[in-house]
Formats: sequence, C-alpha cells, structure tokens
Amino acid sequence: MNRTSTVVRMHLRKKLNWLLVPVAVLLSSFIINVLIGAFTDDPIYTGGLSSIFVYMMVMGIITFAQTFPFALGMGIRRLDYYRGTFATGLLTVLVFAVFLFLMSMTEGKWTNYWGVRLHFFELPYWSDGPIINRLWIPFVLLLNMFAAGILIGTYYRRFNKTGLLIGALAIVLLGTIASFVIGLNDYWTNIFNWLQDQTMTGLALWTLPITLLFSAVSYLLLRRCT
Amino acid sequence: MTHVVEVNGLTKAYGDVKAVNNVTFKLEADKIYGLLGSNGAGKTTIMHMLTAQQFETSGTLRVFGEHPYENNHVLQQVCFIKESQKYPDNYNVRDVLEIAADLYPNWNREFAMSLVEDFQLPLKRNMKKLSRGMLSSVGILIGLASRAPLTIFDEPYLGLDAEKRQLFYDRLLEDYAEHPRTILLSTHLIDEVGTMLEHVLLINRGQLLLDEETDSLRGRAFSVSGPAVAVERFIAGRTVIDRQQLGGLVTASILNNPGSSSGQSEAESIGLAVAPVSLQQLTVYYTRLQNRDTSSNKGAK
Repeated sequence: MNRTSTVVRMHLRKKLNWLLVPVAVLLSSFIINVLIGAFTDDPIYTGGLSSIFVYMMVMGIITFAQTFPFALGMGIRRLDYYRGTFATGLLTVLVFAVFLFLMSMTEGKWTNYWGVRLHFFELPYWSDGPIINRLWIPFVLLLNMFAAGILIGTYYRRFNKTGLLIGALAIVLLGTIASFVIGLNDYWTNIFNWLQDQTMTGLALWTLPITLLFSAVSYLLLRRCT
Repeated sequence: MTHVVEVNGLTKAYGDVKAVNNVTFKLEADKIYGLLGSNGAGKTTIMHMLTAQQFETSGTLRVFGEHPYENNHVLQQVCFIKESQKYPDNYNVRDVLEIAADLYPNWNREFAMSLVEDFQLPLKRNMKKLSRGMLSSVGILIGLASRAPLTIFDEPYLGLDAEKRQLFYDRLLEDYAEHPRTILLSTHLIDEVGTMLEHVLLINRGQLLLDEETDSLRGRAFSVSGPAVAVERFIAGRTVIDRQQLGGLVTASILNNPGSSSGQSEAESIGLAVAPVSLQQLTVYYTRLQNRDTSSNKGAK
C-alpha cells in the first residue's frame, strides 16, 4: 500500500479548493477588466494575473495548516505527507500553467485581445521570448510560490508565533543590514543594471534553486514537526 | 515473546519540567489496558510519543519491536484517537472515514457503517459543524472500525452522553471479543470502564505509580460499613484510604497490609457489611499518597 498516494487522494478529495477557487478568483478579476475594456478606448494593462500566484502561496500555507495535524494524527509518516502534498501541488501548478498558457494564446494570438484591447494574460516582458515560455515560466513561478507557502506553514508549525515573529524580525534586520552594506559600497547601480539585463527567462530560472532550497528546508522542518 | 509496546526509562522534558519522568512499562498483545491519572499527569504525552507525534527526550521506545518514528510498518498498525484531534475544516464525515479506510489495513467498512448508524452521524456534514459529542463519535468510530492491532484512545468521549458512552463500551467489547487487539484507554471516568480494564497503569506527575492487573489491584483493598463504633474499632491499626460518615453509619475503605491476611472475613464476623473498593477510589488514594509524599519531601528540604 502506497501511503504517498493516499495523501494525494486525501488532498484531491477537495479538488474544488485546489483548482476551481483560484481560477474563479482570477476569472472574476478578468471579467471585470473585460467589462471595463468594453467601455474604454485605451488599451488596458493589468496585473490581475498575479492573484493566482499569491493564491498558490496561500494555498501552501492553508493546506499545510489544515491537513498536517490531521495526517499526523492518522498515522501518516511525515515523509509520505511531504511527498503527497508536493505531488498534489505539482499537479495543480501544471494544470494552472496549461490554463495560463491557453489563456495567453487566446488573448494574444487567437482573439485580438478579447476585442477590447485588454492585456491580462499576455503582457509585455512577461510573455516575451518563444511561445513555450508562456507555459514553463508560470509553471516554475507557481511552484516557487507553493514551496514558499509550505515553507511558511512548516516554519510556523515548528516554531509557533514567537518563531514566526523572530523570523520576520530577522529578515527585516538582515535586509536592513544588507541594504546598508550595499549602499555603503555603491553596489546598487550594479544590482539594478544586472536586473535590467535579465529577461523573464533568466529570472524564472533563478527561482529554481530558490524553490529547491525552500523545499529542502521545509522538509527538514517537517521532520521535527509535532 | 515480544511485546506490543516496550518503553524503558521514557522521559519527556520541557526545560526543567519533566512531563514524563523515567517511565518503564510493557504492553502485551490482545489485552485492554487503562492508562489512568489526573490532568497533566503525562498520559497524553506518553501516547503521543508512542505514535511518534512527539519526541522523547531520553529513554527507549519500541512499538511492535521498532521505533515508531517515520515507520510505516509500525504506524499503520496503530490507531491513536485523541480528544484534541484536528480535522480539516472543509472535510465532511464521509471524507474523513474514506481517508481512514484508505489508511488502516484492517478497516472494516460494514462495521464502520453500522457504527455511523449507531452514533447517528451525519455523513455529509462538515467536521467544522459537528457538535463536540459528534466529533468524539467520529474518533471512536475510526478507533473501532480500524481494528488496528494497537488502538489507543485518549479521553475519547468528551461531550458524549451516558447512552453513547455505553454504546462505545458495548461495541468495543463485542468487537474486541471477535477481533482481539491491544487497547490502551486513557480516561477520567474510571469507574465506568473499571470492569473493562484488565490491567492498569497509573501515572502521576510524570511517573508511573502502578503497573498491575486490575484484579490484583482490587484485591488489595475492601470497604466496610456499619455502626460508627463497630467500624472505628475494626479500622484501628489498619490503613484507611477513605472514610465517610452518614449519620451513625460509617463506611471505611481499607488497604490490606502487605503480607498480612485480608481482614474481610473478620469484618463480616462482627457484622460489618463488606464491599469491594472501586478502582477510582484506589487510584485517587495512590495519587494523593504520592502528592503528599512529594510535598512533604519539599517541605523537608
């Protein structure tokens, strides 16, 4: 009996939460934009697309907080829980990436920006480069957001409110020190130059090692979660 | 033979406080154990450690011969039902039961469905919307229908009325007779389950006070009642663990002195009514005894 697949089945009992809710949130924002587009002559560029990325992180946090205590109580190994949860996340992210790809193609290639000059799924810079970018870039970014959500969830479970507060303070402190050091050495120009040189492809690739790091750290935290 | 559970010097410390302090015991297969003790005695912590949901500070722990941490071989043979179990908010009763059916190899669907009817559980209702008693019923149902070789119940019936509790005891004993397994039950309602328990483990302040067969424990004490004068004369020089007076009638519970013969026949011969002492009274006595000893020790320091 494979208990990792049991965990996947456990999550997929609530397909609605995994798939329909984020798509519904995204589409409601989209429809409002289409309506606005119908009444204005100017082209609209909107960041409504970001909702699904934010949702994916929230999904990671909530899923963990809701299902981990239950799974542990039901005698599921932490490793099985981890694998099953990431597998479900991967599956969801894949579905969303395909969805975003199709919507982007529909918007830019197959309809003329929905006939209302709305740029919702196909945006400058974001959709630059070969067509396949519109599939894998959302995929790796969504995955990164999900991993970040799981990391926050495991960190909170392991270290509680005080831990979360200390962690947040530490990040703020490190950020302040870092920006001070950067400012002191006049590195800001270099950093912005580097960022300007990056394409969407480059940035998306940079998330991969970060996603890997998030996943590894959350697994190490999970192994000590009670 | 190997034991279902073997715990040696098990300790759980939170800083200076030892929630579980050097506890050693063994559980044999196919027996019903009671894990008794007052609030905060360490019962729940022990049960959490047995299922690797909490980590021991020191000591050794074997469940079915192995350590339970990240161990599917062990974990799928253990079903741990606790009062504080959390369920995902948006899962309904059916979801939870299906997941349990997926997880426990011995799960019996028919038995589960008959229990759903017995406990009148609404399958489609969300776990979040269940009353406290229904939530407890779901736990009890999983604990019974999983037929896990080691089933652990930690205060499983918060919010359950007397009729439902009786239902739980009845179903447990019926199913236990047909499908023997090891059951570890922690409860405050000691007298309710007293007859069910074959063996008692009494915990107080993180330490194991008693590890004894229920019958031999009961044999240690008896109670006498009768006119005050006669009772007072009888109990002089004996260890009295409880004494109650109602008008001229006194009831006293007496602990047999080790080695000496039981005074039951002597009491009967002088016309006193003799009755067994309840398990609850005995556990209260031993718990208080330890509490008194530790506080007087502290006073001496």
